[in-house]
Amino acid sequence: MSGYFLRRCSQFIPTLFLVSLVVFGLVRAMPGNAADVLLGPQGSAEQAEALSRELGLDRPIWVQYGIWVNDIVHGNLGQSWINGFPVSSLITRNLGATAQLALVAMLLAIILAFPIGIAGALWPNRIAGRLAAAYTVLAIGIPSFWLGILLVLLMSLRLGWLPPSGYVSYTEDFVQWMRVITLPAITLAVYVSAVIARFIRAAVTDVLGNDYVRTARAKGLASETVLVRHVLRNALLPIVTMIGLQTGGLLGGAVVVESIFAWPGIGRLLISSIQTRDYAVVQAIILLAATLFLVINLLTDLIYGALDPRIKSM
Amino acid sequence: MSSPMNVTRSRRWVVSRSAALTGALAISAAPGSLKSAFSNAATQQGGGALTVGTVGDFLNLDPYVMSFVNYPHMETAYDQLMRLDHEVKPHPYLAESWSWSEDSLELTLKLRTDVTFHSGQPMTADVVVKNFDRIAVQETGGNLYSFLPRFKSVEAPDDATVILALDEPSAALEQVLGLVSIVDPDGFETLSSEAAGTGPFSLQEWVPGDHATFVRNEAYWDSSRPLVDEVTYRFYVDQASLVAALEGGLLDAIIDVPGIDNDRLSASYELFTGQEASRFYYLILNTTMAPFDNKQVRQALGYAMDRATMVSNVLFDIGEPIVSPFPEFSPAYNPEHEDLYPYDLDHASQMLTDAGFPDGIEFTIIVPNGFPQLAQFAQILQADLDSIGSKVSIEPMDNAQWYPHLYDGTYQATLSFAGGSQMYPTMIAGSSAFAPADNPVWENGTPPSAYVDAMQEANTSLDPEVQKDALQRMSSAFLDEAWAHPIAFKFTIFGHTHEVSGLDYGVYDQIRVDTATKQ
Repeated sequence: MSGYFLRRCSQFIPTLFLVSLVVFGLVRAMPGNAADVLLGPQGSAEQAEALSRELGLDRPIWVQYGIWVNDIVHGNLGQSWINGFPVSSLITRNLGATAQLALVAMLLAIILAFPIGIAGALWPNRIAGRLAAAYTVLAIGIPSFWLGILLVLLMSLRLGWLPPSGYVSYTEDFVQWMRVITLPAITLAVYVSAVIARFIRAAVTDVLGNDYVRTARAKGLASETVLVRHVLRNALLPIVTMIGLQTGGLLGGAVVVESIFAWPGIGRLLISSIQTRDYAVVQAIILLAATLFLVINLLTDLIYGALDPRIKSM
Repeated sequence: MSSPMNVTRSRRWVVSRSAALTGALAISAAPGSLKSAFSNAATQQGGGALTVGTVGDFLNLDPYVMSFVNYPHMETAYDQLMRLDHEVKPHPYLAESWSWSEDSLELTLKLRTDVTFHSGQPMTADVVVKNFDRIAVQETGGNLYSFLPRFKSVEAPDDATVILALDEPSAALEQVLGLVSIVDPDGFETLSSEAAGTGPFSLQEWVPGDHATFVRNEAYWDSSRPLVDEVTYRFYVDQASLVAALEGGLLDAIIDVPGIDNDRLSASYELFTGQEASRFYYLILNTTMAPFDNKQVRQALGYAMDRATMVSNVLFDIGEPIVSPFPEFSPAYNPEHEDLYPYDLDHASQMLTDAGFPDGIEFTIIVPNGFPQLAQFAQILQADLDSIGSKVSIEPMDNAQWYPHLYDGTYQATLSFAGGSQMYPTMIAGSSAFAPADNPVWENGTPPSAYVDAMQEANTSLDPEVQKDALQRMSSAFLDEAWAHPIAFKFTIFGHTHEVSGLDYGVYDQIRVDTATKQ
């Protein structure tokens, strides 16, 4: 095991190095830079050149790469080139806001998805099943930006029940946090709930056809008991995998919803940093995402190795 | 849909109201113990917190970086040497008086002696000199670098006097000093994220992408201001979210009400128009590239521009079609210029034929995605030119990708916007397409001498008659050579709830919250 572990870890470092090269190269390949953005339409070529020098953008690209890697190795993600804030604090704050939104949205999605998915599986040809099918089609088809705007119009502007946008930390004011997170969380949850509900329906339908379910029913067990103990328990594994995948998607894919509801999340930070060519922030976010991906892959490989000893010898 | 008449009426109302405010400010800024009626009222109405929404976050807190997203903090956290009123006349502010030498080559500023920075450090003449030194360096001068003349020297003979020495007179200087915010030199290095001014409010916190909160400067030199205890700017990604936040009760005021919402919001909120001619949109034609190396082709495009439709369909009438970039109150304004390029596609077609393009022309316009109005203007022009046999390709791109093209002149045509024409007219040269030197759309960077010479003469004369004559010639040369076609002034509409009053704006539509109250 230790040989396999060392082998996999030794592959991790060069992969990370290659990723850092690609991230740096791609980001720097974007036309325009932070100096241009700071000067805006009223700037000039001469002044943009001077400001680029001030920001160190005139140095050879490999020197800039070396400085960046050296900083990263020493645990320093650098400072924003535009507003001077430490990149680590920007990412921490925005990632936290996105995580809150993703988790609440996922909780709502799960609450919605289970009854809908189960209804679709148990009564496919009855009204409940057809309604469930209609919901999943609609929920997957409605774009989140449109749904978000509709919810704002109805819940905020027409009924005045919830604020249309904004962010408050739950540590500052929990009730207000609940109020501001509700609409963006619903907007995100609707699509995800439909995806999960479809998966639940398929998984439950599969399990329902198994002999042990028929046996359980033949034994005279109550339908609820059969459903909970025998059907759901066996259908749950692929559903949990899907929930995990969707949560990951929510963490990275909430950009539109964050924009509509002025939610200061990581997606919004990435987009605005790309627009302003804030290299330090863009590189850090992408590198962080890539590193997380590599770590998860590494862990998966190690778990596979532990579960199937044949893999370790490959 | 709002009519231009409504906007004009609103603007007049604001101008008259703001003139009163400016008068009050001038009084309170004057030496001695004069107290305005306004300040007496203020002591009865002060307090509270104001929340203002705006699209786009600050880039940084450096007041020399005059990007419009930075405007909200410029007169909130900072004071300027002079305060410009809505007729762009300078009034005493941090400089309580000033005088020119007989040869007009030295401007002596007398500074207030009771001003301190938010850090507690006093604002002295040495500090002001350090600010001018910082502006004079390209790397740190931001947009002010191109606005201010290069001084022969800037000296501080005593704590309250600054002498600006010039090689030649500068007609625009007094107005430009109205844009010069004075920054605490101890804060020069941290201006990216921390404000270091003397303004009516000091920064409490800035959370990028979310909000920035400023609190009353208790040591402010004018005891009659500010009137509220706290101002928070909330940042939105787009105008739809901004308006929803106002209507949802999250905001007390918003900057730049979208044209499409203007009429609807005017039923429930108070709206007013900002500075006349604070910004204008224009088409730039690169004279170093065919077909725009041909003056007749450039002029033909002036006739092909349906400015009225552009203002109506793109700006929802929150603007004014223009041929010349100078507003009526400008000394460069000539009413005859407005008749120079009427919308006439037949004439445009005939001119192209005369110029040797009987089958029309073909060219590409680059437009930045970040300013969607520009692409919409381009689409209207594209459709019109298509109807007379010319082909226009529109190439949209990221703003950051567009800026280098704009600076280097690596395009056939583009659309952009500029400020400065509301100021002394030669200040439009702050935009590279209007610059008399290093101009990216002219061979060797130099526009025709009629334009350059007239601009130089207008810049260096302090005689109003000479100035006016030179400025009119400058404007005529610009319109004749037609390398840029102004399209429209864009008005900034501010909106606020009925509980808020006293909001004001600077010459670039920087919001002024120091005179605002909230019931």
